[in-house]
Amino acid sequence: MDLRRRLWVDAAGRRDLLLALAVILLALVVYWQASLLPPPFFDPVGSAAVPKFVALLLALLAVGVIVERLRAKPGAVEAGFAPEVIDDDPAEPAPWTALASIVLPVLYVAVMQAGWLAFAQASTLFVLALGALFGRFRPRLLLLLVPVAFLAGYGLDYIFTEILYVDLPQRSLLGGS
Amino acid sequence: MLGDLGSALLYIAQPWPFFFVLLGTSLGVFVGAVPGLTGGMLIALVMPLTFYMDSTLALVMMVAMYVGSVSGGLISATLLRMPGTPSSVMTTFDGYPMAQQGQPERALALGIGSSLIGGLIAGVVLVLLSPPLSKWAMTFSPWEYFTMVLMAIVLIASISQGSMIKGLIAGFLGMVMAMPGLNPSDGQLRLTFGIDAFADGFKLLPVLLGAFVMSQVIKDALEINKRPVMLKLGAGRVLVPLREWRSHWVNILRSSVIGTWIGILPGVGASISAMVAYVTAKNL
Repeated sequence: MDLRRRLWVDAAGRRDLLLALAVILLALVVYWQASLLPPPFFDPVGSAAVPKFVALLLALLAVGVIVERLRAKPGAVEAGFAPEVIDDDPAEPAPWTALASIVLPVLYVAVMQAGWLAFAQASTLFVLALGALFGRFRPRLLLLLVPVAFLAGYGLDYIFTEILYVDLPQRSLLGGS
Repeated sequence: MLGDLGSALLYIAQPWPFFFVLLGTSLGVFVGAVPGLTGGMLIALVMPLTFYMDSTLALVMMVAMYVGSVSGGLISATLLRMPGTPSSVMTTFDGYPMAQQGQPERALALGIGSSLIGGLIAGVVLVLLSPPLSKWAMTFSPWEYFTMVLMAIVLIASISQGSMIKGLIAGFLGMVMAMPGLNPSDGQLRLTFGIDAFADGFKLLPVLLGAFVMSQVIKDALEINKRPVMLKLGAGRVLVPLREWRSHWVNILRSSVIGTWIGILPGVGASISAMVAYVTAKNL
């Protein structure tokens, strides 16, 4: 019960426990993948030795994090080596905007990788979507954003392909760029 | 050799080569300040343009681009906490808090000034000692490289004042990131999970972008409702007083020597030397 209180009630304890579990999970995956490798055929060490060793070390260190948290006083704050930036004006967090800032870049790359959109079109839409989202869909900003997005998408496409001779994704379901 | 050096300096002082030094440095600083773009990429991009240039001018411009890009990385590291280049990761630790405390010009001026002094010292050392140093660097075998990596891990542990264990976890996670792909010792694919795209491994820059830049973008997006703070900047504050430089001269000199010493080793380069110099300055 005391273990549960020390690890889970405290926010820092929860964070450390989740970190340790994630590291142990990763270490298990690395160890499992390394154990699938064939045995060495000409050198005594082989490809699997170092990943297995590092996975074991990671798992041990993760256990160390849990032990360290158990020994710490509840609510103890760790001192960082870099100066902390003090936030004296906290604002209401925007988790959906943060989620969109992860999803939109993934979609941007995915549509080009799948060949659905060319670089110029994908970039124009990406700049428009991200700019509108970060600008809170303000009409004045959207008016400015449209030419900027087209300039970024089609302008960069022109510079890279026509001046710098760099191949960019050009295949598109919409009939090329 | 000194005659060649003199004639090279005279050549750069002429208007046309000087213009290309300025152009190359400006482009390099701009590209270096954009996280994800490096001097190497810029040089590769402008390579087709140099086919129409005088070869000496092209070389001058490309060297200026590279030097500018390495220094430019500190701009986004200081102002946005997004390192523009791998070597400017350490700048984010102190430069960004300084900028947030209302001293962005001072942080940038100290960074750029130190970069200039370090670059000049490294340049002089390399011009004078290149042949013996390169011979010495070529004698490095896997044992020495292993020792360097071990030293890097010890340094990670030593700068992790909060929790040494977490610092070590970060170091070993970095090692895990470097493992997928072709094992150079026996040519075997490992940790690719059967995905062909993993065969080439994870390059340093995308991992760096994910670790430092994406995390900051997500954090900024999360705080999008926060009212931005307007800082009054003055050109005069960019000039750091001489007495302040005097108080930093030992640190700058020591860091320059560390940067030159580690930077000359093939495959180790600016990232580890920046870390060693930062940790030394922090601990002394």
